[in-house]
Amino acid sequence: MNPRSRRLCLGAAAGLLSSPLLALSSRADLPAPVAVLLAVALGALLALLAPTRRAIVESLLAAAALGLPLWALLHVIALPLLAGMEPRWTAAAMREVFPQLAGWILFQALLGWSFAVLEALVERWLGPAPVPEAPPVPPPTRILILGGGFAGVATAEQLERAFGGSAEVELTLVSETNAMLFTPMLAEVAASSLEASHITSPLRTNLRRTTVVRGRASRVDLALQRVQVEAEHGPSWQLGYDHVVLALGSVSNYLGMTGVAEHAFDFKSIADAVAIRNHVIDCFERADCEVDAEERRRLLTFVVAGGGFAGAELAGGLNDFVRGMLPYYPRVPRDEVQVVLVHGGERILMELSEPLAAYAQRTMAARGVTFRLKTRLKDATADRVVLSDGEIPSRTLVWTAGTAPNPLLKTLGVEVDKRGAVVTEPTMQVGKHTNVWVLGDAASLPNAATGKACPPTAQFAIRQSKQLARNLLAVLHGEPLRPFRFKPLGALCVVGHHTACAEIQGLRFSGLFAWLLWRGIYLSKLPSLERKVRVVFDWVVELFFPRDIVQTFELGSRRGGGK
Amino acid sequence: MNALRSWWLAPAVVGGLGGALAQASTNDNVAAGAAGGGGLALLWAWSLRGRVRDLGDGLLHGLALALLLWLSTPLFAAWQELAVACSCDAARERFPELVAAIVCYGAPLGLALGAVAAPPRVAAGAHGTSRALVVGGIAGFAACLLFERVAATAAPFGPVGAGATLRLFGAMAIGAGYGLLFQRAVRGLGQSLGFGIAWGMLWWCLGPLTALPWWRGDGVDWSAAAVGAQYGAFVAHVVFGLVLGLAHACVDKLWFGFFVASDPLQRDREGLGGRAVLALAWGALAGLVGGVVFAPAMWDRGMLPYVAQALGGSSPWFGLAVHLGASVLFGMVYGLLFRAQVLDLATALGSGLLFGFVLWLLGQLTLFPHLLGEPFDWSLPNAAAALPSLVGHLVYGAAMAFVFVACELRHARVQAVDPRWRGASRALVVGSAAPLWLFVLGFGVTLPVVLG
Ligand SMILES: Cc1cc2nc3c(=O)[nH]c(=O)nc-3n(C[C@H](O)[C@H](O)[C@H](O)COP(=O)(O)OP(=O)(O)OC[C@H]3O[C@@H](n4cnc5c(N)ncnc54)[C@H](O)[C@@H]3O)c2cc1C
Repeated sequence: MNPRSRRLCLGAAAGLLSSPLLALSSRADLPAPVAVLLAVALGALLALLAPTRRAIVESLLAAAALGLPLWALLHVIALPLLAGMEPRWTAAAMREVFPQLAGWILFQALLGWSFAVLEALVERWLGPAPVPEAPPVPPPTRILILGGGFAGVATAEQLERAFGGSAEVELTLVSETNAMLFTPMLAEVAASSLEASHITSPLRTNLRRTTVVRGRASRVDLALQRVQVEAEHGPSWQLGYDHVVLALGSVSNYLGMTGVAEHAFDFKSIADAVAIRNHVIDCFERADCEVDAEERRRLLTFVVAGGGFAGAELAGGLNDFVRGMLPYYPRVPRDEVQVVLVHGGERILMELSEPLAAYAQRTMAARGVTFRLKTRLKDATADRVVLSDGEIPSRTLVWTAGTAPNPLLKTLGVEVDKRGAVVTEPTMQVGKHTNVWVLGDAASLPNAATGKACPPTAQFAIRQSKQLARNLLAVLHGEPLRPFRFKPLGALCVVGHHTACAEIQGLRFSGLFAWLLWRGIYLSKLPSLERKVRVVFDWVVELFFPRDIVQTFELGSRRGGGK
Repeated sequence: MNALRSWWLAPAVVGGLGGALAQASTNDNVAAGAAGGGGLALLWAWSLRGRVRDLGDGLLHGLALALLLWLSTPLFAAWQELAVACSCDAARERFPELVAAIVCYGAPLGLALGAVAAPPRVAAGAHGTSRALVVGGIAGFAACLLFERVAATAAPFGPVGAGATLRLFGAMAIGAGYGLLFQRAVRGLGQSLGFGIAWGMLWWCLGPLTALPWWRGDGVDWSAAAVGAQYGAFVAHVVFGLVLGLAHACVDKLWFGFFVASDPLQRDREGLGGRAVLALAWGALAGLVGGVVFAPAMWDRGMLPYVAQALGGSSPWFGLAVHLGASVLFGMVYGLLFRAQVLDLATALGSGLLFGFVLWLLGQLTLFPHLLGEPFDWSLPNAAAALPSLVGHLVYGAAMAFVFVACELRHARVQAVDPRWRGASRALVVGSAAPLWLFVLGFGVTLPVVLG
């Protein structure tokens, strides 16, 4: 007899032994055979619920403590209700069933005691019950996620939620960085209003059952189902998988302009934002003691290429930062400071409706940003930005004008679109490779709700991850898959202090309200409560004190301590 | 000296003396009381060998035994008289025996059991006598201050007749005693709240029922009628006890959190904040379910318009909304109090019922009349009239606790495959949970039924 059946039998026997007490005390309400049956059933239940063998007194007291709720449930509520009467919960009615209360507590105490005693006796006579051999557990399905950005981390979280504590899967995430960057707030880091680490959330504390591997995936072998991972300072190794999720995001695309690639700052990672911030402060420090007026002008001119969300937000934020810094550099001439936004289109923020984009441009211009529209970037050197219609002497160029999906995708041997994103089925699988999934900026995926391709935004990446997790679960459980379908909620863009534009479900907002909306919505999207608290603190501190103009050490330098 | 610390000697002697004293105070059969008390104490001590961990744990085991003993007395009656002996009227008659069993027998025996226990080894800094005294004293002080502000008329130490200063010192002494007895056993806020209630109940038996009348020279009267007149003081003691327990756990947790748990080497893997947020979310869900289960009874008894009145409305639907809102809020409080202490169905049920009982005392008997602009009344007739609501609150607590434990168990299953938890054991609340639930709920529910 296995331990469970043995305990069940002993529980039932203990119930039978104790039943006279219950039958006696409840005889006004329950016929004796019913009371005996109930006692036996409760004994069996006790044996089932008590997880391990308890000491005799513990078993007695634990069971006795349950006497009161059982009495209330049965004699005060259930039996009167079954008889079509009011529950017996008035003081007078309860007094009538008081003997039953005492009876139940004592019956339960006896039940707990006799069960523990029987168990101890049987174990002494027959020895411990043989534990049946556990059936062999099938090896878990290995799910490997490449990329620790919005898409990858959200997929891992969704899979953790979908599979709960089930051991049928093993989750691994490979990422170049050990934290997820919340890009919508990146401009605020470059503009020194948020601390850099506060908008990144550590993968190892936020993910629960996913094994995190910091490294760069350098080769994905779809045929052999394995991925080569390069550690930053160590050997490379292979990771096998049953399902692989490619969430490798995108990289900057300089459209073949080598000068720009060499001299421009990228604006995609936390290191980029910190580097921009440090560089801007450095320019001010140098301008402060620069005697050559030409050079000073170059130092104080900051060019942002690209008038999309990232470019506009960065230009707005930088403009606030550099103009706010001026009082602390009294020798720097105010009129020499310039933030220039270069954009090839007729207007900035093509993702927003025309009036909102016009509002953004107007307010940014009023705050001091210079616009060079219908102008293309041609080249850049260390002290000059070459445009289609002239030049800007400047030592700072930030590139936000072009991105391309991660180049690793082109090496997979699967169909990619003209940008280089992997063309996927609506279910996010890749053609005949049903165990290969792609999402986020790396995917060219149709949205079943609109019939159009999904734009490369975090909003879509997060929604895709939910559907992908559901589909992966469905594949493992042999259920039908669903296409990705999502109606975009809208777009938000902040372009300066108390200045933002928002277009949500067709409604347009601008100014302070949109700015509050932006902060509220993105704060709610920022992963983990702890980061939210830190960001709110940063915002509050920024309200009352000047922005931080401390130059931090160079990233990658071991010695640090400034320049 | 060694014999004194052995598991049997002290409990047997204290049990024998206690049995004799209990009999002397009720029936006069002193020799039988001494023999029976000593024998039972030996049996109880033998069964609990190595199980009782400290004074508080021992006390609760003693109190639970006293209650069980009193409940089982009718079983010794002759067969023909059994029905009569079991009735509520007979229980009223035998009420002095209950108080005697607690005061003379259960409590001293429990303390003796605790005194000979070998406390388990714990991490450095987890306990400390001076900390127990200081934190307990502060908690007693805080509980007394709060209490005197809210319920000066029914203050637990009011009958002393002394000034506020003496009352405050009394409360601090009771608090320090609580700290000494329960510091080791307390693992969480909810559990401490339960211990505090038991401690308050014991002090009610010791104070207003025993020491105070004796001090005043009125003679000790444990009859049902005399005890019934002290029901207000009972509620006062319970409320004082629960505030004391809660305050103690808060101060102690703060102390422990600041000096021990804040050490990065000891820190919770999920972070205290993370755990608290989870507990709040589960508590809200659990509270809502509990509220929904409780709602039909409220509707049926026409309580909802009254509930609406508390916030200035009158419609039953508004009342329902208020009721569900309050259920969610209290669910969150439950979550915060009992997180990490609810680990299986039994502990869930026990904690849920205890919380329901507390809500009944604080909500139904205290806060609700206050919101309606009426003075609150802790007297026995009022409590007896509110018994249906007690049943409702118990059902609410139980349903809520079941949902909460389902969330907790799901979380535990995820933790089982979470590599961060490898090698870490979850703090289990064992031992004193069962005697605590049994004594607090058994005594708390029996009183208004038997005395009312
Ligand atoms: C400044 C800025 C502001 C933005 N603002 C918004 C906004 O307000 N709203 C919005 O919806 N979207 C916004 N976006 C777009 C949004 O950030 C992207 O659409 C989103 O990050 C795409 O998610 P992803 O996971 O596909 O890629 P990413 O977030 O780029 O993640 C890719 C991840 O893969 C890792 N990785 C890359 N190659 C490898 C490799 N070989 N091996 C291992 N790991 C690798 C990277 O380190 C990175 O962690 C903004 C983008 C930027 C740059």
